[in-house]
Amino acid sequence: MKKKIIALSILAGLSFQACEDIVEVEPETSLATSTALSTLGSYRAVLTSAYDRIQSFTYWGRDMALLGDALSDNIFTETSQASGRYTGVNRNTRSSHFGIWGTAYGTINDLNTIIANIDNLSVGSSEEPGKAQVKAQALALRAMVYFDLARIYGYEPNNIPASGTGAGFDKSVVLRLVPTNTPAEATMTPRSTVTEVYTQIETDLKAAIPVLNAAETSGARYNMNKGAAHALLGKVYLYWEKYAEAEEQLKLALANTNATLAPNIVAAFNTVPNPESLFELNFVQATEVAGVLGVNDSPFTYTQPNGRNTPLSGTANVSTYGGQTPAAELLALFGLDPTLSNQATVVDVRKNWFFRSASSTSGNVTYTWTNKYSAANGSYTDNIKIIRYADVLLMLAEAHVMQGKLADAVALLTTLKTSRNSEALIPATQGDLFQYIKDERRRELFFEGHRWFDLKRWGEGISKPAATAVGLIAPEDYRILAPIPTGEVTLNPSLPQNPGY
Amino acid sequence: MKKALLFSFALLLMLVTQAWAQTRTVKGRVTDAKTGEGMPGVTVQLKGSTTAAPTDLNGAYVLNVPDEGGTLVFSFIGYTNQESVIGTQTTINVRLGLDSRQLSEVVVTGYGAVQDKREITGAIATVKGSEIESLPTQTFDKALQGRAAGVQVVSSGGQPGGGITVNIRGTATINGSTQPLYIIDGVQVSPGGLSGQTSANVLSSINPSDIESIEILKDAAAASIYGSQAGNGVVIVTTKRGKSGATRVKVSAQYGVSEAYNPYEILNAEEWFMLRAEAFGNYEQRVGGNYADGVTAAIDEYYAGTLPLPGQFPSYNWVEAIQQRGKLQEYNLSLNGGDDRTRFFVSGSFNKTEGTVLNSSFTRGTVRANLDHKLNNKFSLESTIGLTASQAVGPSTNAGFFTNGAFTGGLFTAPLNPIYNEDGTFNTSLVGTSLNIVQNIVREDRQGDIVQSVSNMAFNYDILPGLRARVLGGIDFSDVKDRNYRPGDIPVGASVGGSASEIFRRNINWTTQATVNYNKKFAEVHNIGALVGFEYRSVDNTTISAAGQGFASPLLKLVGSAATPTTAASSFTGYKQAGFFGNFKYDYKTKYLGSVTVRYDGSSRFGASNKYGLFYGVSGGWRVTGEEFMQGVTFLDDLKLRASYGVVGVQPQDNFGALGLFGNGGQYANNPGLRPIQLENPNLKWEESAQINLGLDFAMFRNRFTGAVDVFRKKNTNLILSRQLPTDSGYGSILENAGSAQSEGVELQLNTINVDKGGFTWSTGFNISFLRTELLALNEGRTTLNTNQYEVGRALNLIYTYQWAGVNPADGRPMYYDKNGNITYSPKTDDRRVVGDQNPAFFGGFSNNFSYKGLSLDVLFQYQYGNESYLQAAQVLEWAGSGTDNQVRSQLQRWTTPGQITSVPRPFDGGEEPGGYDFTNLSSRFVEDAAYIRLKQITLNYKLPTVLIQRAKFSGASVFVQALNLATFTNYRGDDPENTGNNLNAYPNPRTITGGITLEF
Repeated sequence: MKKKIIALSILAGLSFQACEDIVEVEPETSLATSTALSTLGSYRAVLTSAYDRIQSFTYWGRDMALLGDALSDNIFTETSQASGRYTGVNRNTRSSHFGIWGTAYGTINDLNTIIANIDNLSVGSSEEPGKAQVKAQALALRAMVYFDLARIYGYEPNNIPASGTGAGFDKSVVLRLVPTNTPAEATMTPRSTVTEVYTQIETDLKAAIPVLNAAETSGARYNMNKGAAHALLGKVYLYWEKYAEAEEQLKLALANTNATLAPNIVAAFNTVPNPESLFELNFVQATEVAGVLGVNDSPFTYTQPNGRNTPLSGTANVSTYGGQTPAAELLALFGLDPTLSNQATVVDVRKNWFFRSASSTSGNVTYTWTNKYSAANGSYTDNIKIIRYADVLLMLAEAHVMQGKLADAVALLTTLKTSRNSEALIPATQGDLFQYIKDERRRELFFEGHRWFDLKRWGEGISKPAATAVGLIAPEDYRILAPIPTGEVTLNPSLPQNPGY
Repeated sequence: MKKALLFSFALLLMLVTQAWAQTRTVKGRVTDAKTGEGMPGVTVQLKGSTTAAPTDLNGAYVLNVPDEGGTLVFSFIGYTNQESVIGTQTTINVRLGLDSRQLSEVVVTGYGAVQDKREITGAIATVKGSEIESLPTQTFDKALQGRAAGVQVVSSGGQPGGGITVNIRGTATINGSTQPLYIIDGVQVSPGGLSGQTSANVLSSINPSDIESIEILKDAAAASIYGSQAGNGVVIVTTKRGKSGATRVKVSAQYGVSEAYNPYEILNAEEWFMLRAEAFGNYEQRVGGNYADGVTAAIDEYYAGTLPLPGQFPSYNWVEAIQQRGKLQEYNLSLNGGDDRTRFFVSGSFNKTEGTVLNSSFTRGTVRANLDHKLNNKFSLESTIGLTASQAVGPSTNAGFFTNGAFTGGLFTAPLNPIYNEDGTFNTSLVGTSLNIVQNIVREDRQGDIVQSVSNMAFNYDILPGLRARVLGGIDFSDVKDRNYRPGDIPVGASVGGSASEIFRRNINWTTQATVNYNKKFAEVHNIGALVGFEYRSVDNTTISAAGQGFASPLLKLVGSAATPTTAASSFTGYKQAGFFGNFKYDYKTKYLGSVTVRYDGSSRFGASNKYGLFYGVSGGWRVTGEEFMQGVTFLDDLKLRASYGVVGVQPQDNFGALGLFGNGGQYANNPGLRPIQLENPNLKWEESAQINLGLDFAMFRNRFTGAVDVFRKKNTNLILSRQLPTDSGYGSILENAGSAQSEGVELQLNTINVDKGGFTWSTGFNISFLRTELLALNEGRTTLNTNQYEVGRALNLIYTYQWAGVNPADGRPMYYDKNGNITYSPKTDDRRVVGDQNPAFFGGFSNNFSYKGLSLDVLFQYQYGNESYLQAAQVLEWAGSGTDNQVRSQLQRWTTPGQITSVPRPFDGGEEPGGYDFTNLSSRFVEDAAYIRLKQITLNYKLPTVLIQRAKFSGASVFVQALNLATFTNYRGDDPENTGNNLNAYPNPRTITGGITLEF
């Protein structure tokens, strides 16, 4: 009898266990957190995920390159061509702004996952260098993402307005340096100060730079590399107004890259990769811009005339929502009139970035377009130049000027002027040189996402293109900072919204 | 002819065998008490003997009876038996009346159990197959509309074979499933769309003509035997089974046409241009230029500088261009028969429906073989085989502002755009859009081919009388092949030289059950029933897909012909569940009734710490009319009070929502990515739905006035909510159980026979459900969710947005109210408020049947009241011409002169005036009362007189015409008030008129 009872209870125990087992299903397309990070390959894959997120159209895939120019003064949005894209941005309506919060922090969590765990992975000695590169890239990318967050959602450390709604507002973004592993770790974290965030960016880059390899091959420029990290740190110092440190880093950037100044920038711009790229974001058309993504979201579709783009793209005429056109004020900097009627008389090679065309929906009305995004890497597909040689050169010149090293600056500016066959005269005084650099940055780097951040850090306010009827946006205006997503502010009481929203 | 032969033979046989006894004959005729027609096939039996004969086609019979007479018993299924003492009579004519009690007698309650309706103590609604079998709908869920109290059927569009949502007693959940559990012949099936290319509904695997009955288990007590899946009620579909006797053949055919129901009146080119010119002019003026310059720019842009003469603007109606007259044909054949050991129901059907949008169609063939066989006294076997092959073809009709959506393209394309060039080719140079929607619909291939089966096999073993063991194995299977092809010679395919994708989806859903059922009556008064069982279900959904681009010719369409493969993908998802259940019922003299149900249910969807849960239901009833003291109350035929309480579950919809996961991390430079995608919650479990129901069933005046009233409250706790995490953690949210919501209501179902005189009858069915939902709590510390779509203390599914304040008569600019009730041009996010509620206050159906002799007319209305709908299409269509999209005619009322009072702002190119707010953004301007009454169905049926059909050797023949959605009464300004939710240019339910014929022999 006793035996029977024991046997029965064992059976019952077994069947209870069996009950648990019969209702288990493994999700075959995902991995359990506990087993996901077991090889160096899986860490590489997480790093790939970070690059993938950086590619989002609302982040570096488009907005970082174009939205700032629409927010500021390089773009005039032709509403009849734009199908709503950037119309609010170009008119600076409330909350029409950058929105990278979610994508950026997703990227940061991926990178934190690598940085926090990869040291615990034991690999063979042949894999050690690869492991070190993965971690160093993760650190440098984390710095880049925090820098983007910091300059979108906060002021620069030395450029906090003294008046207006944002007077004395020194809040930057939330600093998270370890991955979130459990719901309990997803804490409500307050915003750090701008100096804290800039310091963290500096720390990450300084940790990454000694380890990172220089980009020896052109393909290596698709990843974060030593030269690019130097350039990024130089840029951070320039925003921070630490000009000596900026100069040092930017010089190291030029010394640690095989990117060079291209003799004919207009032709070079759309080669893949761009010979001037220190760090270029690569897009594979078949997997990343396929289907409706290209026509809906790509920089190409935003900037090219609808149905009149064969000669440019080398493919069939395709549909676009091309409303983002160069503002008359930008053209004027080259001496071009708004309709390009005097294009032949201008000698600056960069004039060839502009062309005049109707679109298939504009009847006999023609517009002026720009050709920086010309489907150079496949249908609707262009690589994004995150850090380019001319940018580094102009930043270095700016660091020189700000330190009064005018001769060094003039030498650099002359190199660029010669390369571009520009007729603009390089002035002699510090103030004029600074203005020249501002104009030259605009001439060289328009539609690449620099203008908004430059105007913001220079504290100049935004003089909007006359055609937008917006007028001047003062440096104290609340719209200089992007709104933090409403849902985040509602959820997290220690996350104050930017002033004015 | 054959039948007549059989009859004669049987008659002959009987005469022969009876010839030896000392006998005489009695003859007579059996007629239907209601119609007066002769009834064939009625069994006439001498009581207490084996002597019997069937009536012939006229209802006539001849029977040999002993000289001393005896008693004749006349019986026929569905009619009250009648006895007649022979005495010395030689002719006995009998009129048989319908047994109204027996007709509504048996209710299917799950796991093979049936129960006498009088004994039911839960809330169960039944829809008989005969009510819906000839409806020209492709799926039975559509046919439920308006027919059962408390069952709200919301169509998501009029695409043939397309999807639908069924809500039973409202929803008291936010992220949990709102769909009921569907069971077809004992097999649990997963509802929802099958094809990714066009809308196709999994329930379209069942031919509505094959359905015997649909039972809807509404309260927890009735549904609790399905445990963790029963929270939204259960729909049990039972298909027809064979009845022993001569083989009955039924053939039917119908044919019909349908046309789109589309109330939008859109602008012609001249009107459209007028608005555009104003938009340009106003814009120019605002930025400091001249109004006239703006107008000139508009003329340049749209008419190359030369405006046509007034009245001579070429104009093209794109909405008409995307539509066609729908056609529908349906053929059914069924055979039904068998003997006392083997019975069969075999059917086949073919349905082809061409939709009201160009190139949209649904074609389906079904085959069914339902067999029942008794091996011996102990063993019996049931096999239920249903096979369906269908093909859904059509443009993207999903609701959404996709330029390739048929209605989005048709409504929005500016009317100055010619559809075709002068040489007959498609015009691809269009103002305002890059896509010629007509070309796209005609040239893009979107197709889903589906093979489905819901089948099972069951063995019964009768251990003792009343004690039966049963095992059942069933499958719900579908293979779907989706195909999309965009040729390289249309703009959407041009950039890559044509693109194609193919997706194979396989869904396998196994159900196995083992049950033991015991029913016995003791001492004539104690009636007990018990059921115990185990059920296991395993669901696997897999897909494999490939896509490619670059095709040598638009005629080569398969992915294999692509120059560049772009995607190769596959996916898997699935879940498993196991349940142990038991039910015990008892009644005393069918007077005091009680039932207890328990289920211990586990699912892979639950977190590791909560794999199994216990669910239960108790109910009781009191049949007042069973009491002695009620015997004198003759007007009351039946009166029963019911009460029930139960706790059932609602499962998370995400199969892996409880797990911590690393998943697809995209790709970069051709390397694959991996990323953390979800945090683990081992505690995640079912939503708990506690439901109480009080009901009253009654029948009076000889069953001429019957009905039921139910009052219920369903309170869901432990709602599966996604708790928002700060996004800076890298995660947006995690699923957890928190919060509660409830839905309460009153349902009334009435059936009356208003007139029954001289062969004319008029009967009415009416149902109405009043419903109120309330959100009781959310995650800790939260009072709102989804930007106040959910707000604690208010109904679920609110519309929360800016309050529209009309147009400033001074300058034509759109105005809004801020949170303090002041006028603002530029509302801020915290100015938003609740401006609407998407829940109806009440809804239901109203049906009438008129019949006279063979002629009958059925009229069904469905209605809904008290809900607001968010009319998203109007956000584009009512833009006063500020964009290139075409507009509805109401926009001609736009503001033009100071002092003008109007609700339409002035046109402004781009919509958004500097310092203003784009008035096409959601505001209460687009929130609209969506109450309606719809004449859902009207059917006129004529049953040919027996005399006529007899000559043609049929046992029955009828012809009918019917119409669906013939008329709709509503103030709603959107396309279809039935398409609730966000009206993003869905496919409106078409008007359909069909005619058909049914023959039986």
